[in-house]
Amino acid sequence: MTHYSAILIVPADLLDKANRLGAALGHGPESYTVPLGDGETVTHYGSRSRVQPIFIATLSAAGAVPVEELDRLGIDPAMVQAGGEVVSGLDLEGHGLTEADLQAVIAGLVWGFEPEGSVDPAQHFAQVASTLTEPGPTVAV
Amino acid sequence: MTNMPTIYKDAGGIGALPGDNVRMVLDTNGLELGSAKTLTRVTVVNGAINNGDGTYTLPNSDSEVRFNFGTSFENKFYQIEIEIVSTPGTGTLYSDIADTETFARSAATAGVWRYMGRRGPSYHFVDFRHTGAEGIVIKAPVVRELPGIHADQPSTALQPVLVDQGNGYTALRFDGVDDKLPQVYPEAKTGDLLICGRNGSWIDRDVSVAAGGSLSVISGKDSPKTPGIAPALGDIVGHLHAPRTLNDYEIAKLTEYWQERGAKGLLVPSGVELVTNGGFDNDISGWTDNGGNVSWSNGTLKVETQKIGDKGGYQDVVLSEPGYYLLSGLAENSGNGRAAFFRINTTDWVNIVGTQEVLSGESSTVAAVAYASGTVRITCDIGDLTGAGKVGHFDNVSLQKLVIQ
Repeated sequence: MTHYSAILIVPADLLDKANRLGAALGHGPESYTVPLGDGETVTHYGSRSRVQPIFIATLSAAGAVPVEELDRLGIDPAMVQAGGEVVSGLDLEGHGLTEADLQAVIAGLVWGFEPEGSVDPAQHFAQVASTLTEPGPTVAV
Repeated sequence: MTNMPTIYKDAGGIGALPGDNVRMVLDTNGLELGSAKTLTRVTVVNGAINNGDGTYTLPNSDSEVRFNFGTSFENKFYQIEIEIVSTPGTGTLYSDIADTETFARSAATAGVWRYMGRRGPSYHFVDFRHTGAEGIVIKAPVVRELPGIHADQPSTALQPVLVDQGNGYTALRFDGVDDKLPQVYPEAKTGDLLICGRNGSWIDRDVSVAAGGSLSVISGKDSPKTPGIAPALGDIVGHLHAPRTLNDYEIAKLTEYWQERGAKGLLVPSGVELVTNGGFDNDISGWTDNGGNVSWSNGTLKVETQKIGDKGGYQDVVLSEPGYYLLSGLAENSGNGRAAFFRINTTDWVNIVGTQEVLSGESSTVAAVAYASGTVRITCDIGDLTGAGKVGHFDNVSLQKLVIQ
């Protein structure tokens, strides 16, 4: 099974909802633990994990990742249908979430995927974190 | 089917294979299973059948049998042994502990399955369901406590990966970003932490964990006392948190044990000091003021400024070769400042590659490790958010390349 290095970053004000969504997806209670900011204020929290293609397809079905990205990564776009079934089967209420919460997290998500082994995990994380533009240069605090 | 002797556990609480995420690490130090826990109540729902002879039939995918084993296992680890008496040969037996699914395996064959779990604070039962074909029959599980200080990481994103070293042994690969395996200590412990990796081994001295506290041997790129050390160690072959200070003989024997399993020897400073006048014996020559109003004070570098931001003194050091370097020193943060920082920077002040801080009002000898090359800038700063004034002293600033002993 091919794995991918996945970098996911969420705005700090969505941290709790993003972690709840991660739990609803079966990934445990605390997915985002790396604080990011301008050295004084934490604006985002990041996460690095290794995921299977279905995870990326699920985010695609939820509207976060365009199908072109799946194509670039060599993931069968047909897998998006299976990802859609994962999204529709989410127990949002059971994790204290609403459909609006789901959409808010998806809209605020900053992501990056590369095949596992093709990039150093720490460098991958730094690369994706560097794309954050607000409110200033991003460094781990 | 028994796999408890394998110390690395996957998401299902059974033996992890190379390439798997590792959720739990079994502490095998003096491991002895506790006595079997008495099951206090059995509940069958949605058509599950209590056969009256100690076996239970799950006739369909909605049926469930729940075994209550009391409250004394709160936050403890245990082994659950479940016997599948007969099975239609397909489908999956699921076991829920607390509110997370910790075990899910195909029940294609009858036999005994053992797995490791940790009960959360609010639940005291284990239940079993079966999906797919009908008619699986199971026996009541046997639940035994697993004494020891086991590691558990329920969040997928934070789990390391088991890798095959190719020498008959496996190791844990942490991603250097957020992976960590916390161990919860039932009792307080203070002592040396020896961590042995495929690229080198390391000792954090006097690591203290309070009763009920947790320890992550590797957290991101850091060990408990040495930020940045994890990448220098590589994949982790083994570790030991001793209850006291280890002597040289003990360290040699322990590292030898793990070297036989693929680790490298102890990483130590090379002995070649790269910082000029880091002891500030007579003056602060060799150091440049970075807006910190630095001065010499009784054998230390004194920072005294009312400017907002991180201010102090710095020294540029030219490295002859790339590698992992240990920055250490004594910082006394006299108050008003946010924190005192030792840093290894690139000279453009953008990329902080190694940092260590001492909080306001504290004094401490600290160390940090960074992979560095070319010219680096060593800074001794005190941060301030308000400009209310800050004072700090730095001493014994050292930068040395790490080498295998």
